Amino acid sequence: MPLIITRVDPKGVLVCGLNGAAYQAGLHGAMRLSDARSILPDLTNIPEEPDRYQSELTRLIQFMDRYSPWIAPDRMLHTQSLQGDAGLWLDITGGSHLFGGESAMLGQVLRDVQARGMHARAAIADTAGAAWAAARCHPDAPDQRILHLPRDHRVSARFPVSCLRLTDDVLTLLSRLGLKRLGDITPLPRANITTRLGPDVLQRLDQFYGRLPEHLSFELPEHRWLIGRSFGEPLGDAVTLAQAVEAMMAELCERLRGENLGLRRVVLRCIQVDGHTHTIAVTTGSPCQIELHILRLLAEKMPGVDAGFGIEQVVLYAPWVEHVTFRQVRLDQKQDDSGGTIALAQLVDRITHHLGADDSLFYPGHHASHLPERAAVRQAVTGPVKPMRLDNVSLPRRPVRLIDPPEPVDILARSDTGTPIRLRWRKMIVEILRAEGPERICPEWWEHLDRHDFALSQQTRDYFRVCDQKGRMLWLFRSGSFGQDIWSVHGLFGG
Amino acid sequence: MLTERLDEARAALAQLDKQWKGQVACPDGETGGVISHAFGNVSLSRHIGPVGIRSVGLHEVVCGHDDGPASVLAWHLAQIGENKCETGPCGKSVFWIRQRRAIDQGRFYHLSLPDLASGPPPLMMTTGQQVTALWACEEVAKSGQVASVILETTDYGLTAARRLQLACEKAGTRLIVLRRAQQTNRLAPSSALTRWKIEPSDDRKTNSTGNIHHLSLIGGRGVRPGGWRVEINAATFSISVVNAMESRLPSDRAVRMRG
Repeated sequence: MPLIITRVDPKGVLVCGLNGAAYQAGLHGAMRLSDARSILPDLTNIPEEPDRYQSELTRLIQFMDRYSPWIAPDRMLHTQSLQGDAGLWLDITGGSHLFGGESAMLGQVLRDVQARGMHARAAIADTAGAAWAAARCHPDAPDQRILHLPRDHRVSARFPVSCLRLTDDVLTLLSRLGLKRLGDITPLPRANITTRLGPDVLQRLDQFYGRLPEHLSFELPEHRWLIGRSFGEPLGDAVTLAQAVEAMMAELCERLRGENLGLRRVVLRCIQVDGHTHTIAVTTGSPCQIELHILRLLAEKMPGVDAGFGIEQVVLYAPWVEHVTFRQVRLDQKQDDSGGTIALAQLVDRITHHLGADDSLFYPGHHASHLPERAAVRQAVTGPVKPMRLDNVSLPRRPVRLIDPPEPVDILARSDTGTPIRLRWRKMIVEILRAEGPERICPEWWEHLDRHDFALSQQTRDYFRVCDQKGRMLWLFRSGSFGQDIWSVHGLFGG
Repeated sequence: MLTERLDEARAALAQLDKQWKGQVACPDGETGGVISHAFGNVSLSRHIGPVGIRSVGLHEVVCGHDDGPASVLAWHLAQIGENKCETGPCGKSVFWIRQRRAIDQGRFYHLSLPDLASGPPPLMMTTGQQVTALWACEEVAKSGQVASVILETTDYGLTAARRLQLACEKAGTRLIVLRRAQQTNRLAPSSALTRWKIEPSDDRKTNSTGNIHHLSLIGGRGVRPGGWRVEINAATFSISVVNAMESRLPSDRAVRMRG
């Protein structure tokens, strides 16, 4: 049954929404009601209800909160467009892996929206402009519309110029000049584009490719652990920003203390007047209610926030909170170790946040493996810590320092039994006075089920503890087949 | 009157005896702790004073041509005395900070350590930058949340050493720096309380088991350089003095001290 929604406009009564049956009959948005009725005389007409529309939009934003707390509706299209092409932007930075990747997340969004009785198009891209365009113009299947620039430059070059969200006048001008696709505009000199087509084209183009920021008005959902502040006078320096963050953090921690909850992750977002956004995320190893600790962690990353022309909005959001384990103070006035535990957790947080990508902080662990390099594993500093040694695994004497990977040596002389008595290691001649061994370590055959037995025998190692002329105790091992054996140094003993 | 004086003298003597045996805190150290009998032999006390060495602060272990015994010595120094409270283990562990490629003879292999069932496992950190290693070391030392810190690093400046020393004194942390001497066998100036060096004994007769080493106290504040022949027990990671050597070894003279 064809159904349309109409809006009273100075131009007349215009169609601003329609269902599938009406669309298939040839109706479209911005059409006059009288024209529509001439095509479909038995058309059902419902007048637009802006308040109801707004409440439904708010409900949809709350629903989308499951994917990201940063949701920005396209206000201009929602209020003015008659084409039914208004939409929502979701900033999913760093969150797609929670849904199994970008493609899986996109499919999930489409399925959820469809389950609510709506038809939607969706896309994922690096910028808001590119996402807007890809959702409407990407040639792939609806749940595969992912645009990564500049990798997908050829795909985006085929997008029509209407995907740049330009006014009708500019689009008409571009059409007259024969510039119909993005690939037609990008090779043109930038100065000529501005001179002949106006500044909007270049601005939208730069926003599309991420050369210019795009200011999105995020609709902050009603969330218990979200505090947003908008400033009439933009914050111009780091001191005032720090004061604002401090006050917001104190309020957030006070709320959490009331519920006996602690922060595990907090996100700070500073939005500049020109649209630039700085996002700082901090994660703690254990639930934390102490604002000073969180502020100290944030302070390490705050120098990266450039106030620029001023910060007009600051949002503090705790997406991950956990219950704080109740700690009872001892009644016998003896030392309570809970304070030490908290202080150690805070120390670990501070160090973890300071470390780079190649640095690591860990508790040593033990994996049940005979291979020395596999036996030593790392345990995360957060969460329960297992013992450094497995109780049920007996371990022969091991070196104090392990050279990983092992360093091959040149054998210069051998004894009658085939063990080396002189070798060259790191350009130094090592004379072996004594040797103890061997300790045979075989590879883990269950890890190499596809290999032949002979191939595994090449990986069997015979370890020897040898003492050289300087008194050093080296851990040598032999691998390979007889006659073609390879000797390597794998560690040094302390005594 | 005479009885009172005799009692006072006896009390003073008992106090001195306790200090000598390392049972009471060092009077001049705010946080206390002595390691005068760290290696189980009184002969060291002649070099490190009657009340021992202040355990709180910066100590250095200089790696020779073998980093294995140096690592054992660093662990041994880190473990002395501090991890036991009156009521048992006090829950503070060792923090081992490793700067990659600072010591080129592999990484510390924790499965060589004796079973630490009673205490917490050591925290370990690996970093590629010396500035990160020094920052973390200072942060940990200042926090006072670990008993000892072991730092593997390359040469560092006098300013950094002084900062680390102050951080240790602030929170009562012991810091053992494992460093390698420069190619010229010259040590950079440092504000370390003691500087140790350990090398395997190359005497084939006495070192038939491979666990006899030369331990040298090559410098420090208020200490007299000396050398000892020590035995390392790999099963317990402990070091004990076999006998005292000459107070100045020829190999120690080669290490010229500055600062």
